[in-house]
Amino acid sequence: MQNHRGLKFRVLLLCVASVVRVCCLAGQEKHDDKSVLQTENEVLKVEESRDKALQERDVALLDKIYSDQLVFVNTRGQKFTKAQRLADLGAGKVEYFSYNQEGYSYHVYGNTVVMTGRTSSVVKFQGRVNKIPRLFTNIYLKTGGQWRLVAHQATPIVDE
Amino acid sequence: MRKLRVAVLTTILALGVIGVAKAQDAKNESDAEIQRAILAVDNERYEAMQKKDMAALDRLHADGLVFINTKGRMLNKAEYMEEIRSGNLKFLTVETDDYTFCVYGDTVIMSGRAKSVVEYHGVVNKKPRRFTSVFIKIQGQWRLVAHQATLIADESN
Repeated sequence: MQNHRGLKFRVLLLCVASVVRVCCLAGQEKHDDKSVLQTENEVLKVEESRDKALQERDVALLDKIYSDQLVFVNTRGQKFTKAQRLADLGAGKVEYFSYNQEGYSYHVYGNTVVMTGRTSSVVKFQGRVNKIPRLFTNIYLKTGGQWRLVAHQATPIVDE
Repeated sequence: MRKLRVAVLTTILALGVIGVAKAQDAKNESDAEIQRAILAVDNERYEAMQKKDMAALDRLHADGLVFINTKGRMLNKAEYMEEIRSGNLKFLTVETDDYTFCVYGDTVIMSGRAKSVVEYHGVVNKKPRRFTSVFIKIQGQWRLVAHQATLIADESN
């Protein structure tokens, strides 16, 4: 009877210790290679949805992908909010003639991902056609179980 | 024996509560406090660049730093620090304004405008530019994880 009680106590102790450990680890960064790869794949999927939505001017989908606090800086150094960006897309002020992105790299910091890449898409905005290759940074953040774009900036690649 | 068990369980639970409370404290820092902390780190970063304080720069930049300059050149942390150490990248003056901050817990997006005079590989750049800097709190220290700058085009062209 005494042994049985002792065993029960040890099991209880183990359970409590496990709960405490889980609580203590909550919020800390702990990501193995597998979860990093999984995160990269999730972000890539969202990025591909964004690419498609931009080409098809699917403002409803972009509304879901863009964070409400989106900071968007284009190749001319102009800064836009989410509302401005969606309004321009909806009004047809942003027009993609071709779409090409490549050379992605990712840095995963828990629920934040820094994604960089190169684009040579041909896009018309404010009457100007931009064909210059450019580097961009996209910052994705997972909120409410959904990856959202919180910041984007693009810079033309200067031919040295 | 029973008292001992209660004491052990209570201690473990108390430690757990303290751990969770500490994590919560960090989250309870107000957005205004976080913005001030980020500005302080950014100022420290500029000072370190001007003084070539490599130890401070190492501490203030994440190992995975992605830095894209106005020429569309991407540098990692080692490359970026080498540009500063070698004198290829020099901040002759520092002038930034028009900040906006988006705080997402331990991730902060800082956007602004710079009119700093920068010498890069012997060429002086005075043109205004827009930048986005991303700071993440890693092991209790705010660190720059990404920075990108883009020249502000003259719209009269």
